[in-house]
Amino acid sequence: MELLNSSKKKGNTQKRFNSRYENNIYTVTLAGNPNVGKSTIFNGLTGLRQHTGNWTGKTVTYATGTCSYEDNNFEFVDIPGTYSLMSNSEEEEIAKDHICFNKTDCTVIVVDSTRLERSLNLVYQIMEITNNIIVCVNLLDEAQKKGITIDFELLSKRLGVPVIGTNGKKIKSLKKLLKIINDVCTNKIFPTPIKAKYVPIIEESVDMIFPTVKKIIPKKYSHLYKWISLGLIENNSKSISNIEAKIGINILNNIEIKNKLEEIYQMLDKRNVNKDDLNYWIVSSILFNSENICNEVCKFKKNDYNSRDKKIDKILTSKIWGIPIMLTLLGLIFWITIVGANYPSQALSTFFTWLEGYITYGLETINTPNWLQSILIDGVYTTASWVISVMLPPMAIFFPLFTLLEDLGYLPRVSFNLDSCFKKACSSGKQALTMCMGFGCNAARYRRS
Amino acid sequence: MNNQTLDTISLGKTVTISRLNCSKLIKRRLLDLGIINSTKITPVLKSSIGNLVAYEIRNNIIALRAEDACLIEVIN
Repeated sequence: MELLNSSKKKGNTQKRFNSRYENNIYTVTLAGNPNVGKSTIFNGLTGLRQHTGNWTGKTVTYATGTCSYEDNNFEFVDIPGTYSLMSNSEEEEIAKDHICFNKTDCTVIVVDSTRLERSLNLVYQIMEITNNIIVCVNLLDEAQKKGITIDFELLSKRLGVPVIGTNGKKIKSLKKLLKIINDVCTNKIFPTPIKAKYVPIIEESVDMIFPTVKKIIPKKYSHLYKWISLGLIENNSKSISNIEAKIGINILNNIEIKNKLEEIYQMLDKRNVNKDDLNYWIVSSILFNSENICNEVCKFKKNDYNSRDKKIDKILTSKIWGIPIMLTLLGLIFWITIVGANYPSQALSTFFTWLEGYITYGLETINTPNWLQSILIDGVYTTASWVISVMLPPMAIFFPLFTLLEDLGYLPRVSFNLDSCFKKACSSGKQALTMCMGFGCNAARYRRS
Repeated sequence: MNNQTLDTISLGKTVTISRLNCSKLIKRRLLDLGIINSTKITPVLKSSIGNLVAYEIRNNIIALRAEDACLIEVIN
């Protein structure tokens, strides 16, 4: 996207900075499931001009970055990846809060082309809150590999919002995405989401409670009425109390709401529906909608499209081979890092010593006092060159190799194998990746000692 | 046809989910992952150590620990 910008505006950074204030700034939220390449798209769109924001009261951070198209500027907010907005993990709270209360000009929902059905759950949930949605079907290259084709036009028709297929690594496809974002933000396109159809019992319950919700909650939050209604009939008290805290109105203890809910439960009783099953009915309605759409728009060329993956997975996670393969691979990476880094280290070290001679000579010729020379050469220069020659080579070797493992998809298998070890530390297998990254620093350290 | 829990099913055997027997919060999460009644689910992989099993459901693979899987009742 850096490319994109430079082709649009040839000005220097200063000029770009100024133009930010001359033109419109639109905010765009990037939402999506975990592991759908959201961050790749985010980085692709915003280039290097991004910073992570630590938002008050939150321990998890999310990133914002800017990007321009034609004369408009866009501020992108990358919220944590989630499967749903109704469960209650911390990431989901953040994602939900952002979508509910920070009204942005447009929400881009990134979905996985190989797992469209699961991704649509989130799309339908966000549709209950905002209209300005763009669905971005990412990882098209993966879908192609697996023989899956998706009819974007039909998908767009069925969802009522613009749909675009992208491959996060390709600048051209991001350009198309940016154009649509621009069109939606400048009201050239009006997305009209076709919301999920719930089973009659849910629709009726929502209809019953909706007027009361409308009555007690200010118009400012009108986009949340349906969402709150659904939360109330589902009896998702945590989700509701979170909203209560934000808008400062006591919903759960409101007498009218309580009466209405009682009325609904009586109605359910009459029809022999257990009120604890309502969340099941809500989710299964959404899943049913997603399933129907997927059956229409997705075509699988090969029936058993992941048979090869399965065979490999069997070996990688088998009782006999799983751990040895993991140790070998990680060991190999460390070995390459530690041994391989020696050569560039030595070269760098020789280079810096050679350079030091010239710098000392230079300083002496301009008659630098002894103490200053000592500070500059023995202090600053030696330390800096030492750190660079020792640390840089292992980093430059370890992280690309690690990225390679990640791209091959091996790391999730490591997490899978190691989950029980991490469980003992009250954590989950996911942490294996963070731990392995940490080894990168150790590799550098062991070389030192 | 008697009810079994998901953690007792052997690899490669496809079963149908009949009931989620768990607290509200966990239930909501399982539902969001597509684990709902009358969905077919197949255990496909077992972790080399520990009791983590990967299941194929709706063309996805998800991994569940045995203590979560035992909350899911299934029928053949």
